[in-house]
Amino acid sequence: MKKFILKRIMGLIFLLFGITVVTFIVIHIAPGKPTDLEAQFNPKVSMEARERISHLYGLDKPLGVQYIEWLKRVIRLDFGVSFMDSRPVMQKILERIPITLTIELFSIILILLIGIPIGVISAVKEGSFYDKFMTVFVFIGFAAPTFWLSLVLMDLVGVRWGLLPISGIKSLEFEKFGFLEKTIDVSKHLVLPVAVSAFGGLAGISRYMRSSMLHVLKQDYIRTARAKGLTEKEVLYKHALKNAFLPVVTILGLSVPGLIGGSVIFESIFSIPGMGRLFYESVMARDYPVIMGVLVIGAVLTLLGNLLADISYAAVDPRIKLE
Amino acid sequence: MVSRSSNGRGDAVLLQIKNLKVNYRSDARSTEVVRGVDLNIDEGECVGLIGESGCGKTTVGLSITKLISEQKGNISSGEILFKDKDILKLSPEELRRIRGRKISYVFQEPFSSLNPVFTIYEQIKESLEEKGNVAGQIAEILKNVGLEKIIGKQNIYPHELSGGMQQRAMIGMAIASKPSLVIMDEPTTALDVTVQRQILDLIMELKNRMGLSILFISHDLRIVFNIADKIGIMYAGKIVECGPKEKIISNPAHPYTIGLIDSIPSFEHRKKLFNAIGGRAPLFSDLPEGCKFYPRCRFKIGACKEKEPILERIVGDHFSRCIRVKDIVMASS
Amino acid sequence: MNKLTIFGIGIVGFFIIIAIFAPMIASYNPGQIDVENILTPPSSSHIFGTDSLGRDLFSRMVYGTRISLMVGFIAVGIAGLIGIALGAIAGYYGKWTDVIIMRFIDIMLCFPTFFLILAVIALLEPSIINIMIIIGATSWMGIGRLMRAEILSLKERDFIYAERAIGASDFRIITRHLIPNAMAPVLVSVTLGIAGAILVESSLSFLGIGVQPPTPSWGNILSEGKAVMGAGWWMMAFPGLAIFITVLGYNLLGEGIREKLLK
Repeated sequence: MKKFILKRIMGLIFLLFGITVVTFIVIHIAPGKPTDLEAQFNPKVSMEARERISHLYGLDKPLGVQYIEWLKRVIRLDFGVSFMDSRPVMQKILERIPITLTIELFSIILILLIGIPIGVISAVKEGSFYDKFMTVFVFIGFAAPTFWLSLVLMDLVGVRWGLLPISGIKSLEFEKFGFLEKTIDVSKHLVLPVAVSAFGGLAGISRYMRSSMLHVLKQDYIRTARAKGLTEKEVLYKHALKNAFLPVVTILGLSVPGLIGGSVIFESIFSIPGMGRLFYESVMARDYPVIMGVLVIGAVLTLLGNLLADISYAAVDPRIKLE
Repeated sequence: MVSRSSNGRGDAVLLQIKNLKVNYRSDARSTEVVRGVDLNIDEGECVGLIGESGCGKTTVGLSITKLISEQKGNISSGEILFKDKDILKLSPEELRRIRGRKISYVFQEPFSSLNPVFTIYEQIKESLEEKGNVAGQIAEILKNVGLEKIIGKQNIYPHELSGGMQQRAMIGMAIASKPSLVIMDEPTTALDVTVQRQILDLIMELKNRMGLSILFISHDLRIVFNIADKIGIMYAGKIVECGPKEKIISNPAHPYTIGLIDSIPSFEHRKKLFNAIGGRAPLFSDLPEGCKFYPRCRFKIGACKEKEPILERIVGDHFSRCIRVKDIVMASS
Repeated sequence: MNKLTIFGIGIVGFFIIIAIFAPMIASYNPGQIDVENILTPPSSSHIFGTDSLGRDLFSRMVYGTRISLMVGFIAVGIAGLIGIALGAIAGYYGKWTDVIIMRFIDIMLCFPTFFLILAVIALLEPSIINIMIIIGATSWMGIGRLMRAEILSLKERDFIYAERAIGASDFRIITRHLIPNAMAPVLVSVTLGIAGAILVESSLSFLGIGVQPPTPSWGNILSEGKAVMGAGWWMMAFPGLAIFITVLGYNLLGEGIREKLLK
């Protein structure tokens, strides 16, 4: 087990390195220099001043050198300061991560709690009305665009029926609430974003769970379990389920970048102060330090998600434990 | 065959299969794969069921406790009397109580028949009847099947064992609750030749010690001749010859049996040429009229094509499904 | 063939026809402003209603079909080209080439794709061409992996040895023999990818950095719909439904192809 983790961490370091390279290249694709835009805001800036800014940001050095300089700071988690409000980028990101991660976490929990049973029961009742109905339902989930879903829910649930709040993560009177009321308030605000975020992933997982379960049910050891006189429940939920669940764990890990990417949309629509919305705002404002910071951190989070998924898989599947 | 609760020798009959017919479904078509099989297993007896792949012998074995899934096929008619109660008419709950406890199985591929994510310990535990002293019971079972090495090691998984050891584990699971009948479907076919011998010896030993009845399904005549008391030979979904082992070896009474025996390479008859049976087994969807063995038969005559022969007694418990049985018996002695 | 698959083919075909015959199907000029009929609900003269500049929504949506489908096809075409090429090279040549390409794929897969696309689009001009290229350049990885896996298993087959024995060049072997035989799972990916590309394009347009007004795209019409939420439900309903149904169609088609190929 230890060797396994060690190997993974080595791979991780390489990937982290690669992430920084790609991020750097992506930002420097833009024609013109970052300072052009900043200087654009203030037309009175002279050539001289521009050159001074260039020098300050090290933009007059060759790209390779710029990269190394940047990388050295990134390793210390120093992404510079935001162009927009001159606050340290890392600080801005750290403020937003908890919210986005909370929503992601709840999404994943929801996906597991709902998607897995749907998939399992669809497999067990293969071909039945339930199965066909769920198939249709799942395809709808796949196809519904997140932003449309968000808007529709916002309109119906928030505006017309007034059941749930539709913007931000706390109400105006938040400060006056007791602890319990604060928790309820935040939860109410999170319901729609989590629902929207989980919807698509749910479809995917239930589908995958179904096919995994169907595959497992055809295996010889299921026949053995029946031959041993175990109840149908034991056969399905003890013998079959554990085997069917294993590959699903990996898929969960792979869905993390999708969840993070999707956060841009629903955080913007629901005005959630999370990482996605930060990214969107900084992209619109051409705030390069923040853009690069979020790209790197976003990728790191994805990596961590994958690592977690791999370790969980290795922990659960006895055939891998021994490597 | 006779349908009394005891045979001529006074042993109780444990299992009676009467006129079993089983269909398989594939793509909306239904084919009859077992077309009327009768078979009796007495207490303490090992019955061998021989045939080529695809003749329906595995299906017969699985049907005994209705292990064929609804999607794949169904038992269309017949009775399976276990201690005088028809298994096919039992409620699911009653059926479950027989499975694993009174009638258990050993399958061909031990690796894929064991659940890879549960320990051997756990899987044997599931087969136990008594709830107390689990560790003690399991240790006893492991000793009985020659797996002393893993007694006490509760965290061993199937993939950590060799093929032979896995099969021993499966046998252990099968005898855990001291069943009356163990159905073994090609239990040694997937194993190395040297290991095969060991497993067969183990099976014989357990049979004698525990008084087990065994239904031993195989395509390998030599193994079955070794281990069985009574033999049934299947072809194209029906039994074509059955009787005590000695009779079948010394006086085979069906052309197919003769062909099978002739095709065994043996050291004694080194000079004799290797005689395979020409042709191949027919498809169930395309069975000829009359006797199904006709196309490949050495003894065929015109009358064989007209009607499928019935299983007729030759002498005592020896039966054959061939209209030329008298001529054959003379030719093979 | 599965009923759902036929349904999918129907949907896909339906929208392709609309896109091709757009000028004949649209009843108005999509850019025609009519200040007297701002935000009118669906009626006999405007079956989908009008937008905040009085333009006929139905006509705008019909032309939007062209944009969405074009972006979808070309973006996936680009992704396909890159993915097939890199995947085939990685699978065929193996060793260092394989390692480098696969590591590159791993790195690319670490980024939330939408983040990457957003970043690059915002830095360049949000023109339709850029959108197509960027979506293509960030969605080839899955196809690449699939192609590589297929090539790996195919290249050891006898018919490949035979080709080498008669002196066929690597290029010929890869393009004439390996890739065509490996296309099956890739085809599924491509079909599903079109759905994905359409979703991405409409998301970008919705956020304002995709197709720019006045060119109609389902995404930017929806964005307008958000602005007038409450005052014009048709502005949100129809474009959303259109995207949803199109994506559904391609998903069904893709799954149908997969079922067929898995036999």
